[in-house]
Amino acid sequence: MSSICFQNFKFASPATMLKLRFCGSMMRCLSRCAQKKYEPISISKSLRENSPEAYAIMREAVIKLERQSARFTNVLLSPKEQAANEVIMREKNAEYNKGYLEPGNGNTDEPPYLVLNKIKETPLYSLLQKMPKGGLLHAHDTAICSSAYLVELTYRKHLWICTKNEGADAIAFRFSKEKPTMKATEECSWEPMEEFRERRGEANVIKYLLRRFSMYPVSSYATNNAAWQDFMSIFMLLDGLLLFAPVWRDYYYNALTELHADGVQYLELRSVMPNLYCINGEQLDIMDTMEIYKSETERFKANNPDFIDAKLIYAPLRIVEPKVCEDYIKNCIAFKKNYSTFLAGFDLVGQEELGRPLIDFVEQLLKLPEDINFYFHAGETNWYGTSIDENLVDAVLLGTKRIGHGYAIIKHPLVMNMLKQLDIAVEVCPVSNQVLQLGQDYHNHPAAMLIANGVPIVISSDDPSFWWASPLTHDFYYAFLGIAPFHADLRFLKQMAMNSIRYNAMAEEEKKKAFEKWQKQWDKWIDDVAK
Amino acid sequence: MQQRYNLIALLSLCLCLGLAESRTRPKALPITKYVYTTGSSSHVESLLGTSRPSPEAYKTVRNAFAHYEESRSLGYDLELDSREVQANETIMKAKINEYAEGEITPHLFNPSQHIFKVLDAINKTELFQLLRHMPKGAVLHAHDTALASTKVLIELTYKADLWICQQTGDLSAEAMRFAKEKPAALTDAGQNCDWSLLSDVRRERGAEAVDEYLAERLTLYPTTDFLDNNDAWTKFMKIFALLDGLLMYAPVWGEYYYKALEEFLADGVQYLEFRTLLPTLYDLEGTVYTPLDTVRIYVETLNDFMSKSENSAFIGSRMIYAPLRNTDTEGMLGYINTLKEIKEKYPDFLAGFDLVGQEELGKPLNVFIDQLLQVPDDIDFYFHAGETNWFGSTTDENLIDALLLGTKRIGHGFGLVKHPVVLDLVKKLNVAIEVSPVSNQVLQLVSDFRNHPCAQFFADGYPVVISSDDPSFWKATPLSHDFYIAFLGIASQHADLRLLKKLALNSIQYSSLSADAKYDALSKWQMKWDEFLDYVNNVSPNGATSYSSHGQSIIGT
Repeated sequence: MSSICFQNFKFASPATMLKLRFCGSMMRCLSRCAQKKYEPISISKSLRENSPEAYAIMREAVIKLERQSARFTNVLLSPKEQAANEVIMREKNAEYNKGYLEPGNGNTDEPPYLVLNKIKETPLYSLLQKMPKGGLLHAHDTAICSSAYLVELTYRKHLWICTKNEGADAIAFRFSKEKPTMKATEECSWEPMEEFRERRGEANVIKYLLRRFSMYPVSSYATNNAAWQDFMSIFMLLDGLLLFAPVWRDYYYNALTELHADGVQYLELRSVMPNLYCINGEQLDIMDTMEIYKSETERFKANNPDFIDAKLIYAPLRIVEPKVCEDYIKNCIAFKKNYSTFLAGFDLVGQEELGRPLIDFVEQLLKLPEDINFYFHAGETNWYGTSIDENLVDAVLLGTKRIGHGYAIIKHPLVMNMLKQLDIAVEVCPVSNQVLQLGQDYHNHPAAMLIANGVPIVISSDDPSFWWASPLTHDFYYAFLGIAPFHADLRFLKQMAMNSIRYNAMAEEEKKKAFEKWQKQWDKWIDDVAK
Repeated sequence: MQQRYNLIALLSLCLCLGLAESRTRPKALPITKYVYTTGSSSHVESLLGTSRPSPEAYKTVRNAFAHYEESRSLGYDLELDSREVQANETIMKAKINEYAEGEITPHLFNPSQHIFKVLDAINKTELFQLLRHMPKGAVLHAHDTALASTKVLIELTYKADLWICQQTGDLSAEAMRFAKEKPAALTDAGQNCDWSLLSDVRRERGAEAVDEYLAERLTLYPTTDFLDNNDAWTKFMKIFALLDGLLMYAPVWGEYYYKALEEFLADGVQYLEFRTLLPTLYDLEGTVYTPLDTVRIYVETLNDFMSKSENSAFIGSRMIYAPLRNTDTEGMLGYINTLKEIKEKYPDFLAGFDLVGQEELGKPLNVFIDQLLQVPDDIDFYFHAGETNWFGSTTDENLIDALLLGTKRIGHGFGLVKHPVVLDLVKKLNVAIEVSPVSNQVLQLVSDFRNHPCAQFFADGYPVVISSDDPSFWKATPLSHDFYIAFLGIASQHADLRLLKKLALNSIQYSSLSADAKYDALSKWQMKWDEFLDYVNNVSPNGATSYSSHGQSIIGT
C-alpha cells in the first residue's frame, strides 16, 4: 500500500538533504495514510516535534518544489539579463503592490479600451512593448490591424457603402465602379463612400466607423453569446471592404508592419480563406488568396530582414454540415500541394458553442493526410460537461499540435496532464477571453494553473483589432502582471518568447534560424533595458 | 490490424495513467538555444501512432479516455441502489432543465449571476427544493455570529433593554447594546452617535420601517458590485461590529445559537462545526465573563437542544476556536493559553484551532510558526488558507504553511489550483477542502460560478466538503444554496446524485468526530437519507412546485 502511496511522489529525484528530510516525514505519514484510508492524516505531530528552524527548511523545500514545477523557473539568465530583470521587476512590483492594496483601481466599470490606454502609459508596458516577443501563434487574419488603418482604407477609390436607417447603420461595403447590385445581409441602400462622408460629415463618419469596427461598448453584452453576435457582425461588415483583392493584400502587409513594430517577428495566421473579388466583380479562386499571402510575406521579409516568417493555418467555419468538411479537407490538400511550407496546418473556427463539436467531424478529419497538422480551437467555454467542453478531449486525441484557448482546461485535469506529457502548447489569449465574456478577473484566468503545472503555453492576441489592443503587448502585460505568479520575472517573459518559436509550425532547420534572429533582437533589448 | 488498434488504445491509456511519464521529452532541460531548436518533434505520434486511426479505432480510444476521465471525478466510486437510481432521475431532470435553458440564455442562468439578484429565483426552482430536502450531512465551515437568518436577528432585537446608537436625525445604527440605563454616547473616530431605546425608536419610526432598516444593515445586500474584495470585507466587518452588542449579551448568545441549530436542522444539516472568536459576553448585572464562560454557554445550549425529542435527528456540534489573525506574538500566546484551557475543560466540544479575518490584510501564518508549533499535539488545526486569487502573494502561500502545520482541513483553498505540489499533498494526506461557493462570490473572488476553481476538485476527485461560511449575511439558507450552486454551477453537467451523496458523506467523514461517533452520525444521516429518497420518489412531476412555499416556511419554525 505505502509503495502505491509513494509512487507518484516527485520528491525522490532532487536528492538534496533538505528534501530527503522532508521525504522522511512524508513517508511516515503516508504509511499511516495506507493503514487508515479514510482517516484524515495530519502531519502535525511529526512536524510539531521539529524546531522552527527545521520547519523553515521544510517550508523552503516545498516552495522550491512548487516553483520548479512551473517550468519558467528553470530558465537561466545571463548577468546582463539579471540586470535587466531588476529593472523589469521594479516596475512590476510597483504595479502589483498598487493593485494588491487597492484591487479596485483599474478594475471598475470603465470600458476595457480606457484601461488598455491607461496601461499603455505605464513604464512596464513600454518595457514589454519593446521586448522581442517572438511569434504570434493565434490570430485571425481580418482582426489584426488597428481600427485607424481600417478607416484609412475607406478612403480608397470606388468604395461604396450600404446603409440603413438613413445612414445610421452601416451594413456592408463594396468596391465597384458602378453602383453594386449585390444584396447585403440586410435591406440597405448603396451610395459612394465619398457622398456618404460628405452627407454625414467626415468627423462623424470617422467616429462612427472607429466604433463600428470594434466591439465597443463591451459593457452592453449580457453574455458570451451576445458578445459573439456583435463579434461576427464586424467580420461581416469588414468582408466587402477587405475581400477586395488589392485591399486584402495591403491589409495583410500592414498587419505584418504593425506586428513587427510591436516586437513580433513571426506570425501564424488563421484564415477562413475567402474568395476575393476584383473591381469588375470577378471572383478569384481561393488559391489566389493563398498566393497573395505568400507573395506579400516574401515581400515583407525582403524589406525587413529581421522578420522571421509567416505561415498560415487554414481555418474554415465550424458551423457547417459534416460533409462540407470534406471540401475543407480537399482545399487543405490542394494548399499543401502548392504551398507545402507556407501552410502550417488545419483548424475550424467560429463560436464553439453554436458550431458543431469536433466529434461530429471525426470521420472527415481523420482523412486529412498525416503531413498536415491540426491546430484546433478547443474549450473556449466555461460550460462544464458540454460537448464544447469535451472538444478538448477530441483535439488532443486527434493529435492537435497546439490548443487554441483551452479555457476549460481546469475541468479536465487528465487532458492537462497529457498536454504536459505530449508537449502540446496552449495558445492563451487573455484579453480576448475577457472581452468575449468568459471571465472578468484576470486573477482567475485558468492559464495560471497551466503556468504553475509547467504546461507549455504561448501568449496570443486572437483579434486585437476588435478591442483596440496593441497587436500583442497588452496580452503580454496581462499574462505577466495578472495571471502569472508574483515571483514570475524575466525568466517567464523569456520563456514565453522562446515558446512561441519552439511550439510554432516550423521545421527544425527553420526553427534554428528563427531562434537566431530572435536572439539577436533579444540581446539588443536586454542591453537597452540593462542600461 | 485490430491488434494494432488495441495496442494504440493500451498505449494511450498507459500515458493517461502516467506510466509513460515524460517519455517524449527529458525533464528539466537546460536552456540552450539548441533545446529550443530541436526538442519538439513528436508530440502526438506517441499517442496515436504515426498514421491516423480509423474512425472506429478513434472512437474506442475516445470512449476509453472519456470513461477514464469520468472515473476520476468526485463521487464516481459510489454505487446507487435502485431507489437512489430512481431519485437520481428526478433530480437530474430538474438539473438538466435548468442547465439546458442556461445554455440557450446564459445571462439568465442562475449560477452565472450574482446571488443577490437570483436568490428568489433560485428558491423557486425545482432543483433547489429537492436539494433543500436532502440531508446534506454537516456544515464544517461557518462563523458563529453569521449563522441564523435575519428573521431571528430581528426577533432578538425585540428584547427589553436594548439600546441603539444613532446619528442624530436619521434612522441609522452604529451599534447596539443591552443596558438598564442609557450608555455614554460614542464619540470615537468614525463613530458619532447617541443612544436611544430601540423600543422607543420603533414607536417613533414605526416598527416596520425599523425592522426593514435593520434587516438591510445586517446583511451585505444590496451591493452586488463592490469596488473590490477589500471593499466587500469592510462592509462585512461592519456587520460584525453592529451585531456585537446584540449577540454578546449573555442571554442572547445562547438563544441565537439555539435558533441557528434549529434552522440548520430544518435545512437538512445534522452536524455543525463552527468557528468562533470566543468574545467576552456581558449582562445587565455586570457579571465578569471569560471566554470559557462563552464556551460553557455553548455547551449548555447544545445539551438543551440535543435533549429535545424533536431534535433527535441532530448529530451534534463542535467548535473551532478561531481568534483574529491580525495580532502579535503576545496575542498569539494568549490565544494558545485560552486554547489549552478549553481543551482541558471541554475536550469533547473543542474540535481545534484556526485564525480568522481577511487573509490579505491580516498576518500570514508564517509569522506565527514558532508559537503554532507549540500547540499541543492533541489539538488539531483547521486553517483558513488561500482565500485569494492573487497568485504568489503571502496570502496565497498560507496554503503551504497550513499544510505543513498539519491542518486537518483547509478553509476555502480558493488559490489551491495554482499550487500543484500542495494539491498533490492535499490529496495524498486526505486533507479536506472546505469550499464555500456563495461566500466566494459575495466577497468578490469569482463572479461567475462556472469559473469557480472547485470544478477542478470535482473533476479530479479531491476531498471536498461544501460549506456556507456566513449564510446570514447573504440571506442564504444554512447550506442548500451552496449545494445548489455547487451542483448546478460548478460541477459538470453530468454530475449526479453520486456527487451529492459523496458531498454529504464527506462532510461527516472529514468532521472532527471520532471514528465511533462518525459511525453513529452516519446512521442518523442514513435514516434521513432514506426519508429523502422516499420523498423524492413520491413526488409527482406536477406536484413539484406545490411545495415551493414550504421551503420558506421552514425558516423560523
